[in-house]
Amino acid sequence: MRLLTHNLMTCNVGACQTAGTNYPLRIVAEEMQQSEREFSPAFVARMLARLDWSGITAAAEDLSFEGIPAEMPEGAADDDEFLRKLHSLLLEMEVVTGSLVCPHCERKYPIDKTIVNMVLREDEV
Amino acid sequence: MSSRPEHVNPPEIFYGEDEAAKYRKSSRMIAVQAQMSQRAIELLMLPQGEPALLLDIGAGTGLSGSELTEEGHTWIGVDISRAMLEQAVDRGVEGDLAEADIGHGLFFRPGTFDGAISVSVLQWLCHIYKNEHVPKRRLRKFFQSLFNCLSPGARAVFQFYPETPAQIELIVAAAMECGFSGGLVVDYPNSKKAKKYFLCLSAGVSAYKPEALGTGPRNAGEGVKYTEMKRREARTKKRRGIKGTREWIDRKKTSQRNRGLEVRRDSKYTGRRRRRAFG
Repeated sequence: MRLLTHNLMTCNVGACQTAGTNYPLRIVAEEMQQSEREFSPAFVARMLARLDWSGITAAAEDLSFEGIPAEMPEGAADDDEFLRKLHSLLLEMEVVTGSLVCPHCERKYPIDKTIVNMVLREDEV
Repeated sequence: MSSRPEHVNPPEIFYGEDEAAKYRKSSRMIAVQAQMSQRAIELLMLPQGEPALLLDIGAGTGLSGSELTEEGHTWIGVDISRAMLEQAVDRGVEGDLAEADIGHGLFFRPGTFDGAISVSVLQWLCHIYKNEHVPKRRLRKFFQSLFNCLSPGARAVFQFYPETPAQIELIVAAAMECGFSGGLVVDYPNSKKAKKYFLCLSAGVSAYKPEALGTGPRNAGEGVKYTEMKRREARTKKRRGIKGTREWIDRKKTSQRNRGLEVRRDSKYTGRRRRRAFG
Protein backbone atom coordinates (compact mmCIF):
# COMPACT_ATOMS: atom_id res chain seq x y z
CA MET A 1 0.00 0.00 0.00
CA ARG A 2 1.36 3.38 -1.00
CA LEU A 3 0.96 6.56 0.99
CA LEU A 4 -1.14 8.21 -1.72
CA THR A 5 -3.76 5.51 -1.22
CA HIS A 6 -3.46 5.86 2.54
CA ASN A 7 -4.14 9.57 2.23
CA LEU A 8 -7.37 8.93 0.38
CA MET A 9 -8.68 6.11 2.57
CA THR A 10 -10.99 6.06 5.56
CA CYS A 11 -12.26 3.37 7.91
CA ASN A 12 -15.31 1.76 6.34
CA VAL A 13 -17.02 0.48 9.48
CA GLY A 14 -20.57 1.86 9.48
CA ALA A 15 -20.38 3.47 12.91
CA CYS A 16 -17.11 5.26 12.03
CA GLN A 17 -18.53 6.51 8.73
CA THR A 18 -21.38 8.12 10.61
CA ALA A 19 -19.15 9.48 13.35
CA GLY A 20 -16.84 11.02 10.74
CA THR A 21 -13.76 10.46 12.88
CA ASN A 22 -12.44 7.69 10.67
CA TYR A 23 -9.43 9.55 9.28
CA PRO A 24 -6.46 9.27 9.03
CA LEU A 25 -5.80 5.58 9.57
CA ARG A 26 -2.75 4.88 11.71
CA ILE A 27 -0.01 2.96 9.91
CA VAL A 28 1.75 0.11 11.64
CA ALA A 29 4.50 -0.92 9.24
CA GLU A 30 6.49 -4.09 9.63
CA GLU A 31 8.17 -4.04 6.27
CA MET A 32 8.57 -1.16 3.85
CA GLN A 33 10.02 -0.97 0.37
CA GLN A 34 10.92 1.78 -2.03
CA SER A 35 10.54 1.26 -5.74
CA GLU A 36 11.32 3.75 -8.44
CA ARG A 37 8.38 5.10 -10.42
CA GLU A 38 8.15 7.51 -13.27
CA PHE A 39 7.79 11.09 -12.01
CA SER A 40 4.97 13.11 -13.50
CA PRO A 41 4.96 16.66 -12.11
CA ALA A 42 1.56 17.31 -13.71
CA PHE A 43 0.01 14.41 -11.84
CA VAL A 44 1.49 15.26 -8.44
CA ALA A 45 0.48 18.91 -8.86
CA ARG A 46 -3.02 17.78 -9.69
CA MET A 47 -3.14 15.65 -6.54
CA LEU A 48 -2.20 18.59 -4.29
CA ALA A 49 -5.80 19.81 -4.10
CA ARG A 50 -7.01 16.34 -3.18
CA LEU A 51 -4.47 15.53 -0.51
CA ASP A 52 -5.27 15.99 3.13
CA TRP A 53 -2.12 17.43 4.63
CA SER A 54 -2.97 16.26 8.14
CA GLY A 55 -3.02 12.73 6.71
CA ILE A 56 0.47 13.18 5.30
CA THR A 57 1.95 14.53 8.52
CA ALA A 58 0.24 11.74 10.47
CA ALA A 59 1.66 9.11 8.10
CA ALA A 60 5.11 10.68 8.32
CA GLU A 61 4.91 10.54 12.09
CA ASP A 62 3.80 6.90 12.10
CA LEU A 63 6.69 5.94 9.85
CA SER A 64 9.10 8.39 11.55
CA PHE A 65 10.00 10.26 8.39
CA GLU A 66 11.52 13.68 8.87
CA GLY A 67 11.48 16.86 6.86
CA ILE A 68 7.74 16.96 6.14
CA PRO A 69 6.43 20.51 6.65
CA ALA A 70 3.47 20.90 9.02
CA GLU A 71 1.52 22.85 6.40
CA MET A 72 1.48 22.52 2.64
CA PRO A 73 4.00 25.13 1.43
CA GLU A 74 2.68 27.97 -0.67
CA GLY A 75 3.30 27.75 -4.39
CA ALA A 76 3.86 24.02 -4.07
CA ALA A 77 2.46 23.32 -7.52
CA ASP A 78 5.34 25.20 -9.19
CA ASP A 79 8.09 23.93 -6.92
CA ASP A 80 9.59 21.07 -8.91
CA GLU A 81 11.87 19.92 -6.15
CA PHE A 82 9.03 19.78 -3.65
CA LEU A 83 6.83 17.86 -6.09
CA ARG A 84 9.60 15.35 -6.63
CA LYS A 85 9.95 14.83 -2.89
CA LEU A 86 6.21 14.40 -2.57
CA HIS A 87 6.18 11.97 -5.48
CA SER A 88 8.81 9.85 -3.80
CA LEU A 89 6.86 9.90 -0.53
CA LEU A 90 3.41 9.23 -1.98
CA LEU A 91 4.09 6.90 -4.87
CA GLU A 92 7.43 5.23 -4.27
CA MET A 93 7.19 4.34 -0.58
CA GLU A 94 5.18 1.21 -0.03
CA VAL A 95 4.10 -0.74 3.03
CA VAL A 96 4.66 -4.43 2.25
CA THR A 97 3.43 -5.92 5.52
CA GLY A 98 1.82 -4.27 8.48
CA SER A 99 -1.63 -2.91 9.17
CA LEU A 100 -3.83 0.15 9.20
CA VAL A 101 -5.69 1.00 12.39
CA CYS A 102 -8.78 3.15 12.64
CA PRO A 103 -8.35 6.06 15.09
CA HIS A 104 -11.99 5.76 16.18
CA CYS A 105 -12.88 2.07 16.53
CA GLU A 106 -9.35 0.60 16.56
CA ARG A 107 -10.35 -1.79 13.77
CA LYS A 108 -7.23 -3.34 12.23
CA TYR A 109 -6.88 -3.71 8.48
CA PRO A 110 -3.98 -6.05 7.77
CA ILE A 111 -1.55 -5.41 4.92
CA ASP A 112 0.15 -8.39 3.35
CA LYS A 113 2.17 -8.50 0.12
CA THR A 114 1.35 -4.76 -0.26
CA ILE A 115 -2.39 -5.57 -0.46
CA VAL A 116 -4.52 -4.06 2.29
CA ASN A 117 -7.49 -6.14 3.36
CA MET A 118 -10.52 -3.86 3.78
CA VAL A 119 -13.14 -6.64 3.82
CA LEU A 120 -15.62 -6.05 6.63
CA ARG A 121 -17.68 -8.53 8.60
CA GLU A 122 -21.37 -8.22 7.80
CA ASP A 123 -22.12 -6.86 11.27
CA GLU A 124 -19.59 -4.06 10.82
CA VAL A 125 -21.31 -2.64 7.76
CA MET B 1 -24.81 -26.92 -14.27
CA SER B 2 -25.18 -23.31 -15.17
CA SER B 3 -22.56 -21.71 -17.38
CA ARG B 4 -22.73 -18.48 -15.39
CA PRO B 5 -19.98 -18.23 -12.78
CA GLU B 6 -22.25 -16.25 -10.43
CA HIS B 7 -24.36 -19.37 -9.98
CA VAL B 8 -21.41 -21.53 -9.03
CA ASN B 9 -19.73 -19.78 -6.14
CA PRO B 10 -19.29 -16.35 -4.55
CA PRO B 11 -16.60 -14.29 -6.31
CA GLU B 12 -13.95 -14.61 -3.60
CA ILE B 13 -14.14 -18.39 -4.03
CA PHE B 14 -14.79 -18.60 -7.76
CA TYR B 15 -11.77 -16.44 -8.52
CA GLY B 16 -9.44 -18.69 -6.58
CA GLU B 17 -5.94 -19.80 -7.51
CA ASP B 18 -7.13 -21.87 -10.48
CA GLU B 19 -9.18 -19.12 -12.04
CA ALA B 20 -6.42 -16.59 -11.37
CA ALA B 21 -3.97 -18.88 -13.15
CA LYS B 22 -6.27 -18.88 -16.18
CA TYR B 23 -6.02 -15.11 -16.30
CA ARG B 24 -2.26 -15.48 -16.35
CA LYS B 25 -2.03 -18.17 -18.98
CA SER B 26 -4.95 -17.91 -21.35
CA SER B 27 -4.11 -15.50 -24.14
CA ARG B 28 -7.75 -15.49 -25.22
CA MET B 29 -8.97 -14.35 -21.80
CA ILE B 30 -6.25 -11.72 -21.62
CA ALA B 31 -7.16 -10.41 -25.08
CA VAL B 32 -10.88 -10.23 -24.24
CA GLN B 33 -10.22 -8.43 -20.96
CA ALA B 34 -7.85 -5.98 -22.61
CA GLN B 35 -10.33 -5.22 -25.37
CA MET B 36 -13.19 -4.57 -22.94
CA SER B 37 -10.96 -2.41 -20.77
CA GLN B 38 -9.88 -0.34 -23.75
CA ARG B 39 -13.49 0.20 -24.74
CA ALA B 40 -14.38 1.15 -21.16
CA ILE B 41 -11.54 3.68 -21.08
CA GLU B 42 -12.70 5.08 -24.41
CA LEU B 43 -16.21 5.50 -23.01
CA LEU B 44 -14.82 7.37 -19.99
CA MET B 45 -13.87 10.17 -22.40
CA LEU B 46 -11.15 11.59 -20.19
CA PRO B 47 -9.48 14.82 -21.31
CA GLN B 48 -6.45 14.05 -23.49
CA GLY B 49 -2.97 14.36 -22.05
CA GLU B 50 -4.00 14.89 -18.44
CA PRO B 51 -2.76 12.23 -16.07
CA ALA B 52 -5.73 11.24 -13.91
CA LEU B 53 -6.31 9.21 -10.77
CA LEU B 54 -8.73 6.40 -11.52
CA LEU B 55 -10.43 3.63 -9.60
CA ASP B 56 -10.51 0.12 -11.00
CA ILE B 57 -13.42 -1.78 -9.49
CA GLY B 58 -12.82 -5.50 -9.68
CA ALA B 59 -9.19 -4.98 -10.63
CA GLY B 60 -8.47 -8.73 -10.59
CA THR B 61 -5.04 -9.53 -11.98
CA GLY B 62 -4.64 -5.94 -13.09
CA LEU B 63 -5.27 -6.47 -16.80
CA SER B 64 -7.57 -3.45 -17.01
CA GLY B 65 -5.15 -1.53 -14.82
CA SER B 66 -2.30 -2.15 -17.23
CA GLU B 67 -4.36 -0.50 -19.94
CA LEU B 68 -4.83 2.52 -17.65
CA THR B 69 -1.10 2.68 -17.00
CA GLU B 70 -0.50 2.59 -20.72
CA GLU B 71 -2.73 5.65 -21.10
CA GLY B 72 -0.56 7.42 -18.54
CA HIS B 73 -3.02 7.31 -15.63
CA THR B 74 -2.48 6.34 -12.03
CA TRP B 75 -4.98 3.90 -10.54
CA ILE B 76 -6.08 2.19 -7.39
CA GLY B 77 -7.71 -1.21 -7.68
CA VAL B 78 -10.18 -3.00 -5.44
CA ASP B 79 -11.23 -6.63 -5.72
CA ILE B 80 -12.67 -9.27 -3.42
CA SER B 81 -10.46 -12.09 -4.62
CA ARG B 82 -7.17 -12.37 -2.79
CA ALA B 83 -5.80 -14.86 -5.31
CA MET B 84 -6.39 -12.51 -8.23
CA LEU B 85 -4.79 -9.56 -6.41
CA GLU B 86 -1.72 -11.58 -5.49
CA GLN B 87 -1.41 -12.51 -9.12
CA ALA B 88 -1.50 -8.79 -9.94
CA VAL B 89 1.28 -8.10 -7.43
CA ASP B 90 3.36 -10.91 -8.91
CA ARG B 91 2.89 -9.38 -12.35
CA GLY B 92 4.21 -6.10 -10.95
CA VAL B 93 1.31 -3.83 -11.86
CA GLU B 94 1.70 -0.11 -11.22
CA GLY B 95 -1.53 0.41 -9.32
CA ASP B 96 -2.14 0.09 -5.61
CA LEU B 97 -4.42 -2.75 -4.58
CA ALA B 98 -6.97 -3.30 -1.83
CA GLU B 99 -9.05 -6.36 -1.03
CA ALA B 100 -12.63 -5.26 -0.41
CA ASP B 101 -16.28 -6.16 -0.89
CA ILE B 102 -17.81 -3.35 -2.95
CA GLY B 103 -21.25 -4.34 -1.68
CA HIS B 104 -20.11 -2.89 1.67
CA GLY B 105 -19.42 0.43 0.03
CA LEU B 106 -16.12 1.99 -1.02
CA PHE B 107 -13.89 3.51 1.63
CA PHE B 108 -12.38 6.56 -0.05
CA ARG B 109 -12.64 10.20 0.88
CA PRO B 110 -15.10 12.36 -1.09
CA GLY B 111 -13.96 13.71 -4.46
CA THR B 112 -10.98 11.39 -4.72
CA PHE B 113 -11.15 9.98 -8.25
CA ASP B 114 -11.31 11.44 -11.75
CA GLY B 115 -13.15 8.37 -12.95
CA ALA B 116 -13.76 4.69 -12.47
CA ILE B 117 -13.79 1.63 -14.68
CA SER B 118 -14.98 -1.86 -13.98
CA VAL B 119 -14.94 -4.95 -16.14
CA SER B 120 -17.29 -7.86 -15.53
CA VAL B 121 -18.25 -7.09 -11.93
CA LEU B 122 -21.73 -5.65 -11.46
CA GLN B 123 -23.61 -8.90 -12.14
CA TRP B 124 -22.00 -10.38 -9.03
CA LEU B 125 -23.82 -7.85 -6.86
CA CYS B 126 -27.19 -9.17 -8.04
CA HIS B 127 -26.74 -12.47 -6.25
CA ILE B 128 -27.11 -13.59 -2.68
CA TYR B 129 -24.20 -15.46 -1.16
CA LYS B 130 -24.81 -14.79 2.53
CA ASN B 131 -27.89 -14.43 4.68
CA GLU B 132 -27.25 -10.73 5.05
CA HIS B 133 -27.03 -10.09 1.32
CA VAL B 134 -29.81 -7.99 -0.15
CA PRO B 135 -28.81 -7.19 -3.76
CA LYS B 136 -30.74 -3.93 -3.90
CA ARG B 137 -29.20 -2.68 -0.67
CA ARG B 138 -25.70 -3.73 -1.70
CA LEU B 139 -26.03 -2.02 -5.07
CA ARG B 140 -27.32 1.15 -3.40
CA LYS B 141 -24.51 1.14 -0.87
CA PHE B 142 -21.96 0.67 -3.63
CA PHE B 143 -23.30 3.35 -5.98
CA GLN B 144 -23.77 5.80 -3.12
CA SER B 145 -20.18 5.42 -1.97
CA LEU B 146 -18.95 5.57 -5.57
CA PHE B 147 -20.86 8.79 -6.19
CA ASN B 148 -19.23 10.28 -3.11
CA CYS B 149 -15.68 9.34 -3.94
CA LEU B 150 -15.82 10.60 -7.54
CA SER B 151 -14.94 14.22 -8.16
CA PRO B 152 -17.86 16.30 -9.48
CA GLY B 153 -18.59 15.52 -13.11
CA ALA B 154 -16.37 12.41 -13.09
CA ARG B 155 -17.58 9.35 -14.96
CA ALA B 156 -17.71 5.66 -14.29
CA VAL B 157 -17.99 2.95 -16.92
CA PHE B 158 -18.99 -0.62 -16.06
CA GLN B 159 -18.86 -3.48 -18.49
CA PHE B 160 -21.10 -6.23 -17.14
CA TYR B 161 -22.96 -9.39 -18.09
CA PRO B 162 -26.61 -9.03 -17.14
CA GLU B 163 -28.43 -12.33 -16.90
CA THR B 164 -31.95 -10.96 -17.29
CA PRO B 165 -33.58 -7.64 -18.19
CA ALA B 166 -34.68 -7.45 -14.56
CA GLN B 167 -31.04 -7.36 -13.49
CA ILE B 168 -30.33 -4.44 -15.79
CA GLU B 169 -33.31 -2.64 -14.37
CA LEU B 170 -32.18 -3.31 -10.79
CA ILE B 171 -28.67 -2.05 -11.46
CA VAL B 172 -29.64 1.03 -13.47
CA ALA B 173 -32.36 2.00 -10.98
CA ALA B 174 -29.90 1.73 -8.07
CA ALA B 175 -27.41 3.96 -9.89
CA MET B 176 -30.01 6.58 -10.77
CA GLU B 177 -31.34 6.67 -7.20
CA CYS B 178 -27.86 7.57 -6.03
CA GLY B 179 -27.74 10.65 -8.25
CA PHE B 180 -25.89 9.36 -11.29
CA SER B 181 -26.91 10.40 -14.76
CA GLY B 182 -26.15 8.47 -17.93
CA GLY B 183 -27.37 5.10 -19.03
CA LEU B 184 -26.76 1.82 -20.73
CA VAL B 185 -24.70 1.54 -23.90
CA VAL B 186 -25.01 -1.73 -25.80
CA ASP B 187 -22.28 -2.41 -28.33
CA TYR B 188 -23.19 -4.62 -31.29
CA PRO B 189 -26.75 -5.20 -30.06
CA ASN B 190 -27.57 -7.42 -33.03
CA SER B 191 -24.73 -9.83 -32.51
CA LYS B 192 -24.99 -12.65 -30.01
CA LYS B 193 -21.25 -12.97 -29.60
CA ALA B 194 -19.96 -9.42 -29.79
CA LYS B 195 -22.81 -7.87 -27.79
CA LYS B 196 -21.46 -6.02 -24.78
CA TYR B 197 -23.23 -4.03 -22.09
CA PHE B 198 -21.65 -0.88 -20.69
CA LEU B 199 -23.26 1.12 -17.94
CA CYS B 200 -21.98 4.67 -18.38
CA LEU B 201 -22.54 6.93 -15.40
CA SER B 202 -21.69 10.52 -14.67
CA ALA B 203 -21.52 11.96 -11.16
CA GLY B 204 -23.06 15.24 -12.11
CA VAL B 205 -25.56 16.90 -14.36
CA SER B 206 -23.71 16.62 -17.66
CA ALA B 207 -25.61 15.03 -20.52
CA TYR B 208 -23.53 11.92 -20.91
CA LYS B 209 -24.58 9.19 -23.26
CA PRO B 210 -21.85 7.81 -25.46
CA GLU B 211 -22.65 6.07 -28.71
CA ALA B 212 -22.71 2.30 -28.95
CA LEU B 213 -20.73 0.41 -31.56
CA GLY B 214 -22.45 -1.57 -34.28
CA THR B 215 -25.69 0.41 -34.25
CA GLY B 216 -25.12 3.17 -36.82
CA PRO B 217 -26.41 3.06 -40.43
CA ARG B 218 -22.97 2.04 -41.71
CA ASN B 219 -23.47 -1.26 -39.92
CA ALA B 220 -26.82 -1.93 -41.53
CA GLY B 221 -25.22 -4.52 -43.82
CA GLU B 222 -24.25 -6.63 -40.83
CA GLY B 223 -27.84 -7.58 -40.09
CA VAL B 224 -30.10 -9.92 -42.02
CA LYS B 225 -31.07 -8.58 -45.46
CA TYR B 226 -34.75 -8.09 -46.28
CA THR B 227 -34.90 -10.54 -49.19
CA GLU B 228 -33.01 -13.14 -47.20
CA MET B 229 -35.48 -12.63 -44.34
CA LYS B 230 -38.43 -13.19 -46.71
CA ARG B 231 -36.85 -16.34 -48.07
CA ARG B 232 -36.30 -17.68 -44.57
CA GLU B 233 -39.86 -16.92 -43.61
CA ALA B 234 -41.13 -18.74 -46.69
CA ARG B 235 -38.98 -21.75 -45.87
CA THR B 236 -40.28 -21.93 -42.31
CA LYS B 237 -43.84 -21.62 -43.52
CA LYS B 238 -43.36 -24.45 -45.99
CA ARG B 239 -41.93 -26.68 -43.31
CA ARG B 240 -44.65 -25.93 -40.79
CA GLY B 241 -47.58 -25.89 -43.22
CA ILE B 242 -50.40 -23.42 -43.23
CA LYS B 243 -51.54 -22.36 -39.79
CA GLY B 244 -55.00 -23.57 -38.81
CA THR B 245 -55.17 -26.60 -41.11
CA ARG B 246 -55.74 -30.11 -39.76
CA GLU B 247 -52.11 -31.17 -40.46
CA TRP B 248 -50.77 -28.12 -38.68
CA ILE B 249 -52.97 -28.79 -35.66
CA ASP B 250 -52.03 -32.47 -35.55
CA ARG B 251 -48.33 -31.70 -35.67
CA LYS B 252 -48.62 -29.05 -33.00
CA LYS B 253 -50.58 -31.36 -30.73
CA THR B 254 -48.05 -34.17 -31.17
CA SER B 255 -45.18 -31.90 -30.35
CA GLN B 256 -46.95 -30.60 -27.27
CA ARG B 257 -47.77 -34.16 -26.16
CA ASN B 258 -44.11 -35.03 -26.59
CA ARG B 259 -43.25 -32.18 -24.29
CA GLY B 260 -45.60 -33.62 -21.69
CA LEU B 261 -48.24 -30.92 -21.91
CA GLU B 262 -51.90 -31.61 -21.45
CA VAL B 263 -53.53 -31.75 -24.88
CA ARG B 264 -57.17 -32.39 -25.90
CA ARG B 265 -57.69 -35.80 -27.52
CA ASP B 266 -58.04 -36.03 -31.30
CA SER B 267 -61.53 -36.52 -32.66
CA LYS B 268 -63.45 -35.97 -35.85
CA TYR B 269 -64.22 -32.46 -34.62
CA THR B 270 -60.54 -31.47 -34.30
CA GLY B 271 -59.82 -28.36 -36.32
CA ARG B 272 -63.43 -27.94 -37.42
CA ARG B 273 -65.31 -24.70 -37.06
CA ARG B 274 -68.15 -24.57 -34.54
CA ARG B 275 -71.55 -24.14 -36.01
CA ARG B 276 -73.02 -20.68 -35.59
CA ALA B 277 -75.12 -20.41 -32.43
CA PHE B 278 -78.01 -18.33 -33.77
CA GLY B 279 -79.63 -18.23 -37.18
